[in-house]
Amino acid sequence: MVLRFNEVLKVVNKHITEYLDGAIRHYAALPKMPERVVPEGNGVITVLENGQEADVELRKMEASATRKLENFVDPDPEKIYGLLQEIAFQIASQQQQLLMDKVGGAADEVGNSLAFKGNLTPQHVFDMYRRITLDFYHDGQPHELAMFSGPEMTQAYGLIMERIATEPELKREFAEIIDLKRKQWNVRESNRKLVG
Amino acid sequence: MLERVIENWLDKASEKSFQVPFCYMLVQEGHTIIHLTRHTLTEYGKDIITRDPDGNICAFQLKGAPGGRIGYEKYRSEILPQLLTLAGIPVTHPSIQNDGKYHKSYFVTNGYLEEEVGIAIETANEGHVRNGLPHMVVKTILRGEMLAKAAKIKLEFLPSDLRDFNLFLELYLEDGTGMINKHKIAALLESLYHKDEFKAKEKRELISSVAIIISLITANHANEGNHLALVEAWTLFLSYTYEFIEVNGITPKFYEQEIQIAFDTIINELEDLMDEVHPDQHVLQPIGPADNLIHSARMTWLLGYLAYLGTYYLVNGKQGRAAELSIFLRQFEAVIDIYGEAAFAPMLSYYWFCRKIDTGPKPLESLKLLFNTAIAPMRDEAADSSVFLSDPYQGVEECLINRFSEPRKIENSKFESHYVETLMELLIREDQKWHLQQLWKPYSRILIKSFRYDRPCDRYQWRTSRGHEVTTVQPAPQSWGVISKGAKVIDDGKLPNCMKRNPLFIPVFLMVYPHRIDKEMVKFFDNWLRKRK
Repeated sequence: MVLRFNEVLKVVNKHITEYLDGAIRHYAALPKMPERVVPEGNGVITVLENGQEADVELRKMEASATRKLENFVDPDPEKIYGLLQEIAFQIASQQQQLLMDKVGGAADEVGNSLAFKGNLTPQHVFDMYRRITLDFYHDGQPHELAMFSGPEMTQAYGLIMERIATEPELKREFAEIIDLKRKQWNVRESNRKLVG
Repeated sequence: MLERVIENWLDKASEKSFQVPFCYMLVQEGHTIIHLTRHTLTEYGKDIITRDPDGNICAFQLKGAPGGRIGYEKYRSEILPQLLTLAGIPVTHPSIQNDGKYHKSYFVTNGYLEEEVGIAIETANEGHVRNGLPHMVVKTILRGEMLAKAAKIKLEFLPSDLRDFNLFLELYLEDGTGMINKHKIAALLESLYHKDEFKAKEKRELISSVAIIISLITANHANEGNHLALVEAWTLFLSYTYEFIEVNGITPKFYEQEIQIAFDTIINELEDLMDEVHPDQHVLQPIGPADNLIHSARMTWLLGYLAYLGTYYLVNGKQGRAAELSIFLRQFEAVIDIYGEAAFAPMLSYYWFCRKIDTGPKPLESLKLLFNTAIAPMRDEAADSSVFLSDPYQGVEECLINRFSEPRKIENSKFESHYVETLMELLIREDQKWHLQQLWKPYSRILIKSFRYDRPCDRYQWRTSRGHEVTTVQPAPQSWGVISKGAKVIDDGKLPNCMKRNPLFIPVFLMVYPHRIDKEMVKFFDNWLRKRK
């Protein structure tokens, strides 16, 4: 048997895992989305305020990348990291697909989907805001929203938000929507009481 | 290989550390254990009392001689008087009828007797028979016979897979001064119990064989007097044994003894701990600045176990001891450290003890304190605070390591809690409507975490691969009528049968498995305790 540096390998494996985690986050659709460990079981259930349940089975994600054997005897670390990047991209894509399926399905189910033809307009953005539940910080500022879109839509959305920020009529309408959301949040918060 | 391990274990075992496995060996030979003592002076030389398969009462005196021989001087000055009381004073025990028959006496050691000691015992026995006092005869069980008894353990049950055997060796070789490795002990227990088919007779033999394996892997902890490590190990054993019993549908008569020995061992260890810390409280003091920083957490953890002993005293009619313990535990109140949600388990144990012994406001105040701590991160004034409790999957050691790690290794959501709903229901059971109304707003913001088991007995496992983690968003507003009804009703159909049959197991189970918090389990125990006189 050829001697193996087992202790060194443990450290290197840990390094690879951390590198892979970082790369998956880099490719992730929502890199700031909080991650958490599910310590046991084979699924998670969310029970909503109205008692309705949303059930998610845990799904195993696998990715593979193949290289010719000679690449593994090549000491160039760039090639190894390239392989890891490839795997990370595959995992991130699977996560993204799962996320889109789940979020899309949930939005469809409660009627929160908004479909339209043509270009994005300020009214589409207002419609989106009207449909969602928005929470606020104690200083009155709304919680930040995460947006996932293709490059064209991202650009169009940015332009619309610029218009909303500068054109008085759009600005006023948007402020009214946020105000309404703040009132709804206040009602929700003041409803947090034990009655009877 | 295993024979060598057993030999090694026997050579280093003190009488205390071979008492429990010796009991299980006797059970395997058909004895019924009547009494298992804590090596106190009150038992008249009888460490173990049994009824043998022929119905004879047997008394055993154990003497540790790790790796050595018992010489004549030790025999004359120390052992002989004990043997005279062992044989000469009749066994008195509530479960033994006084029918005038004498008991059989055995002197057990893991060492050898020097030749003159052997001759002295033999000569004395012959003399007793000659003088018409056959009941004074003391038989000996020495190292060789102990090994032979140990060899009767069903070897086919023991870890044969090399990985499992390595696990066994790793555990066996721990120095015994720290906490037990629950992950590893659970993995070992799973490798022993989670097999497909057992014959009916094998099932009982398996339970006592597994108990002997637990004794082996905790031998160093026993030799070190590491009581809480032993309590945790035997709790894991009980938990996995209950699972095995329920999965295989084993009837109580086939396991009651094995369970009782393990439970007695837990109580004995807690009493030994109490004997150690009560008269000499210096052992509780922190040793050096590092220990100072974690002292409060250690005391909180300890408080839960000692309070559990107090509850045991109360439900077993030992009010005097419980009162003494209650006074002793007051000093702990000044140093409580809720190191994570896992700390709620020992604090619940303390609440139950206080609730049972004290009818004043103190128990209620301690419960309110726990509830207030659980909801603190969600109060308006703490809205932007990042201070919150680690989830109960992090035990005391993990929480403390996390506290002193930079950056913190464990990230939890401050919006979630595994314990807060249970605490809320206990407050309802205490009729604390006003208190809850005042704090309902922050409470209602918390997402309630729980676990939905596929089978009730899955909760005995350290981690289960079955079932679902559940996150519940609370309705707002909430009705007092609805929650107070919920707090009083117990859905005990979700609880495993062995736990329902042995409710006193619940608090110690929760302290060892803090992540297994379950409002139905807590209410079930709370009800049971309230009904006990």
